[in-house]
Amino acid sequence: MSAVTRRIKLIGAACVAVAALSQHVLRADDATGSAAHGAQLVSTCSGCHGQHGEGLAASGFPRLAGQAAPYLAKQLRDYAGGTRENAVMASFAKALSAQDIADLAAYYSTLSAPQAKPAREDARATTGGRMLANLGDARAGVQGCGNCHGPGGRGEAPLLPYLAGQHAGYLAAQLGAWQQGTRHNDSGEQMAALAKKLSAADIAAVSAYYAMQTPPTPQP
Amino acid sequence: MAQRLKEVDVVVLGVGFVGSIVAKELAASGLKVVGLERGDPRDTVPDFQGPYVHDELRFAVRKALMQDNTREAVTFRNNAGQTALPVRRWESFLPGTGLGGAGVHWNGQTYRFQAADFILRSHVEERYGKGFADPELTIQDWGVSYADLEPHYDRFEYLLGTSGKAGNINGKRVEGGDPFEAPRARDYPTPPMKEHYAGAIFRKAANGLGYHPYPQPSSNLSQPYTNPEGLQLNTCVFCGFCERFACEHYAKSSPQTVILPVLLKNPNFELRTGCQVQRINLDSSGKKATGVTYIDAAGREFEQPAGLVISALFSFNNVRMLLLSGIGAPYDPATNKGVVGRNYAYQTMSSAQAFLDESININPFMASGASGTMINDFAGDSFDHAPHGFIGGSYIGAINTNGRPIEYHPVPPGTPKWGKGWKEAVARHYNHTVSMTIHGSSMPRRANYLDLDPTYKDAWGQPLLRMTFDFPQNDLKMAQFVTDRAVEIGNAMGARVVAGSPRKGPYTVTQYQTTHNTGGTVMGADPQTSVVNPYLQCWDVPNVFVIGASNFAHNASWNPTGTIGALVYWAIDALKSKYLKSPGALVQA
Repeated sequence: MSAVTRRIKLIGAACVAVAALSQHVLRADDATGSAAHGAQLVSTCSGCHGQHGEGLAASGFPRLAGQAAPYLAKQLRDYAGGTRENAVMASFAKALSAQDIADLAAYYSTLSAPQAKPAREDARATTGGRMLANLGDARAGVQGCGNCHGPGGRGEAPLLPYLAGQHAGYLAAQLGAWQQGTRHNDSGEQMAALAKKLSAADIAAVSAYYAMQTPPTPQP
Repeated sequence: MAQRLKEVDVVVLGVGFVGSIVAKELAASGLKVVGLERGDPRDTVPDFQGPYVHDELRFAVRKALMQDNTREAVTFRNNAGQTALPVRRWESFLPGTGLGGAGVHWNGQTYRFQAADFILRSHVEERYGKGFADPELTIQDWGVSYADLEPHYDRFEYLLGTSGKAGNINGKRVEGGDPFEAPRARDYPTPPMKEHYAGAIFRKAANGLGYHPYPQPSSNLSQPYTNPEGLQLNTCVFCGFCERFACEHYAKSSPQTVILPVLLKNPNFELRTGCQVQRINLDSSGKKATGVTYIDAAGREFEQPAGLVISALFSFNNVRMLLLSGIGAPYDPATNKGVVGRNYAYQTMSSAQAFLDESININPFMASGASGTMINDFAGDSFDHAPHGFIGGSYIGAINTNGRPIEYHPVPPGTPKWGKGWKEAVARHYNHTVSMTIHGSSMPRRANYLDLDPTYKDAWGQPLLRMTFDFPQNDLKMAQFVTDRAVEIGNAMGARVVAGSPRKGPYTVTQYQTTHNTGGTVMGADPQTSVVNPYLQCWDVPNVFVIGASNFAHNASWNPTGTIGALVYWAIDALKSKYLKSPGALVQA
């Protein structure tokens, strides 16, 4: 048994309680990613997600820079497994080994990319979007996004992604995917339940709001 | 001089779980209903949102959601030989206030009582013989049977969407549920919560000892649910901020999530908050209520005339409202006569902690208010009491509700109370301890009761409620016996140290136990020993109904909310099918 495998087993044993709750799906391979090896794999990814993981706003390709490694790894597994539907990502993800996934996730989690702020203030973002993000909407029965995604949308590692500074087009597309069920990779169905209560205007406003916030710097 | 308002059909005192359910049903049947709530209006959005809602200091330590006891407290003494003093800080019990009542900050632990509970005196005498129970216990039958209440338990659980696993459906044993439960007509509306690791360890140990572990029924939900009122609940995220906190996620069943949005839309209903009801007014005969008098937040006094008065307050306040209004004879322990304030009971809470090896991580912070694993093998009527000389019992469960930083720090006996040694012990044991709740029944005794304090008054000049209470020997004996069983379970977990803490007397109000205060307006078939008849209608004033845990003739081994919910729907059924068609006494005294 290699040292790495032994370590995985030890961590695995310690994580029994965590893994018992599938809402908190942390796996041993999350902890063992090699960012250095990940850096050698990224040429395919960077075509869309940018040299620094900054994404591409116009095409709706998300920022990955500084997103927590366990979250990124879970998304790759879910693309491969089909609970997050995307033909392009599924084909890439299926080709990756567990170790590749861990390494890529580790790599992107360490990056810090400049923010592509929208050219001008989006009026929707400063009114309805801010309210929805931070307080929710009583009439729709929707809680504020910050309850899970952290104050200001800075994320709650390891599994809840940051939204601050994420591209509006990507966020809106994801809320649409939760609504339609093409993304259903949260075990408690919280995202589907709340996305279905949002109107198109709500989605546009909250996406615009988060796109204007400053993304968090990577956590060590 | 009170300003007299326009008469309505019904006035409901208190808009918590009971008040909002009653008001919803009566308003829907076409009656004009006014709800009077002393606290503030509040809702999931914007009042319960993060990060504010996870402020442990504000909500758990300083108890921001509880009744303001600088305006309205309770006085306490252990026995009639003492002088009662006002409780200046809520510690032992935490009465809620505000729209939604304690249904906002509860843990969601949702049980039924056993069939034997509703016929307690008859059952104990039949099973163990007359004279088995300690003669100081004033146990009695409730005047209602489990079979009467079953459909109403069902209705309440489906309103809440309670997550659980049936153990007995129509008399047929269901594997994985509680084998000691009374038969239910169907399974819970949603499947049980995920089991946390403390629960898994408990399950294994309890199974090994031949007991019957099952998932604790939870009204923090395991999956999305739409209730019969058309309201949607979300899946609980195990945030660990449930009891003493409000839920930001629409995942905990509360009046706000399961009933109020429907009630507040009905034009037949009017909610008035900040209204402190002073008394229920009676006509000159003293046999008919004419309405209530209340003082609003601006200090103005109003008289609200109404044809029907429903007192839907927390147990203390139901009792106090009747005493302030002169409804029913106050109980006198010296003569054992009178009924209002009689059979006050509580809950006999013990605990045991299993301190495990450092290689076993519990992660106590991943918790919901009701996601434990538990056994009823030593609860209620589940076991033979003949060799033990007491009645009642306790459930035992690994019911880990939180791992919050200020208040959760289990340490073994002998640990220094402060300083380096204490800090090291907290760091060593925080993530490696299974805390077991031992939740026990509370039997009424002649000397325990509630009345009006002769000295202390509230901010409006009305006498405070006085509590005279100490644990019966019966309950302390029971607590010792069941705690010993919990220690054995801890040892079976392979714990290095197991610390059992059986409840000891005298009762103290300065240590948190539970807010399951019951009795004082007891239901029953005999007006000599009950305040309300089996339909929760006042014997003396038939157009006043009193509903809540104050109706319990004793407190059983389980948390009271499920039984309160069953009683609410039971009373509503009688109101709609009997009383409204022909107002008057539903049972002749």
